Amino acid sequence: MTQRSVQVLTSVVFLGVGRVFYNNNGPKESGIRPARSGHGYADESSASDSIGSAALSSASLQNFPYDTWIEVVATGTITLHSKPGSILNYTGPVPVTGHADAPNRNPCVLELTIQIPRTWPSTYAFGPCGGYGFVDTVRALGPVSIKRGVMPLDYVGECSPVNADCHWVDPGYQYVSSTAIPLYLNPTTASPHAINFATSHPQVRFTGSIAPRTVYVGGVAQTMLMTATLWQWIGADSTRDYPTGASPCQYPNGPDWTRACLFVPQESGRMILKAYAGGKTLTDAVTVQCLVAPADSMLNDSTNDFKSREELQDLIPQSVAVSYHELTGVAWKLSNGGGFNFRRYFDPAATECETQLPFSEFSPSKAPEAAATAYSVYHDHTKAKDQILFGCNDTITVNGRPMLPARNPADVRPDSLNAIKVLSEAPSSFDLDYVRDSGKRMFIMTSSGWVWKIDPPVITGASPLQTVFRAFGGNTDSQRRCTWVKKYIP
Amino acid sequence: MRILAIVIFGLVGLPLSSVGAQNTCHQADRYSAHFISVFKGMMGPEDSALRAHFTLPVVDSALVTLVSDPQLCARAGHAIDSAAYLLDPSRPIPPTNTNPLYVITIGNSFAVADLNYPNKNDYTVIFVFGSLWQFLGLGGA
Repeated sequence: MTQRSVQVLTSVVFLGVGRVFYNNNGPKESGIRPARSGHGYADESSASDSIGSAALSSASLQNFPYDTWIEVVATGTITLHSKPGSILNYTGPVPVTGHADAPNRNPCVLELTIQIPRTWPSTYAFGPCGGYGFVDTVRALGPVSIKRGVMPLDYVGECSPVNADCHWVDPGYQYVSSTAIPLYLNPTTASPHAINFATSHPQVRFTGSIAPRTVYVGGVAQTMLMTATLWQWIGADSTRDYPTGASPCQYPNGPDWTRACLFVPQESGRMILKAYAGGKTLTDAVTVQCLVAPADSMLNDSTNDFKSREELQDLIPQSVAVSYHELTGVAWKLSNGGGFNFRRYFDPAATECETQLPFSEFSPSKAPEAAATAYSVYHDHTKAKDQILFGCNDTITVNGRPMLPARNPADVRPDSLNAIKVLSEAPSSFDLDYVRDSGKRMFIMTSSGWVWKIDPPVITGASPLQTVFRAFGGNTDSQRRCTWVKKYIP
Repeated sequence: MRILAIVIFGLVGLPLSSVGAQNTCHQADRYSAHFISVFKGMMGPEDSALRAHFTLPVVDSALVTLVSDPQLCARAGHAIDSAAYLLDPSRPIPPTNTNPLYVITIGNSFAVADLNYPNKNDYTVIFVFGSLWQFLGLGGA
């Protein structure tokens, strides 16, 4: 505790020193920095600096690679002094809007202006000279800086018979900052969103957009701006990646609140959009996938960009990460067409041989919203056919003789059933029993890429209806083109 | 070979009392259908390694059937007792019983599953035996 207090105090001291010696003229952190991707600028949504009281001082703020609406704020005053006899005979504070010179001379002195050389106009004031004003909202491109105006004009003999030093300013600072108006990427859309890639490859229109699309500046609606810096298509089976060029993806030309890309994917996959908006690089993605047949509303849930498929496919690697323990959960169907929501259930006794999902997990009290209904349960089978099962906790009784299966490859206890080979990843007898007893539909994700769906029997005692889908690992070209898209981790 | 010798020893060494009651054959139901489906599903070329592990031949699907012969099911009971003894000689030999067993023929080989004692595992342990009831391995389905 003592050591930590000292460290904090030291940091405060150094910050204070840094502020005192801050240089107005050199490049600041707000300048251009190479991005990790090597093609852009560092994300920086705001910057601040101080500007000295001397005439023509300047301060650098942000540097925008693309058109960006920003709010610039300047605060504080400096003090101007005048000798008796000066034509501008004023001693007192000067706000950021400066001070009016005497008639027929400079219209304004010591005022701060926003300098954006790459835009037109390239200079903006904070308000009428000497008036109330400290903030402006402008469209910026390239470097943004603040510059102070000139001193009042002085003539020899004006306040002294021998020189013209009639005015001076106290040493001091005013503070300036700029902040990009925050913008957010709306969910990227794809039209069409579902394609049977086994038989057709139509053109897809991908659309990215920002929110809000307009803001009012001085009572005038202004369109907010985004720039698409990357459209990249990644095929789900990773065999046909198409880094997209610029030409098909610049709709419309010029800055706007929305951008579109026309592309002809050859297989299911994900289009990734990176866009510069609000002073940041934002990322979003949308998938285009084949629908499953026979249809299932959860697996074909394009409303939520097929998130159910991501959830199922996530089970296997996450199970492997916890010693192959099976994972389970409940899929809830939301009301009003809201798609599906997935609630994992943590089974502390799960092994790679089994997991138990209590029926209480279907109760309305566990629903994510009042009107949601439990659509299905789901879990995974972590070991593929021909692999060996370990770690089954439960005792297996063989003709009256209780035995415990081997827990790991080194388990050579005499009471261990060793080397249980997986003969099938298909739903087990116990899976079928669970569906029968719970009345709930079940999905099973297998490590070899099959997804089994078991529908409960309508008539008690009848065999459940089983359907199998191929999520990944298909052997045919058609299967591979319809590989389910896994979760995107940017 | 060593395993075979032990299993045969186990069979011979069983007390006479253990043959007083004999396991019976379980009638066909969806569990037996599941087991039959599993072994039929192992007959493709992609499962040659799995079959080799159990020394199972490729057989026609029609030769994968549920056994209803009481003598074969009784013998299957002895076989899993012996295999269990092999895996854990320290465990006491339980009283004999007449519990029904699922016995599947795969050509001349056998698979035996005992579902009389529920457990929570997601897999049923299946004992696989050769034509002479030699123990070939454990499977899960």
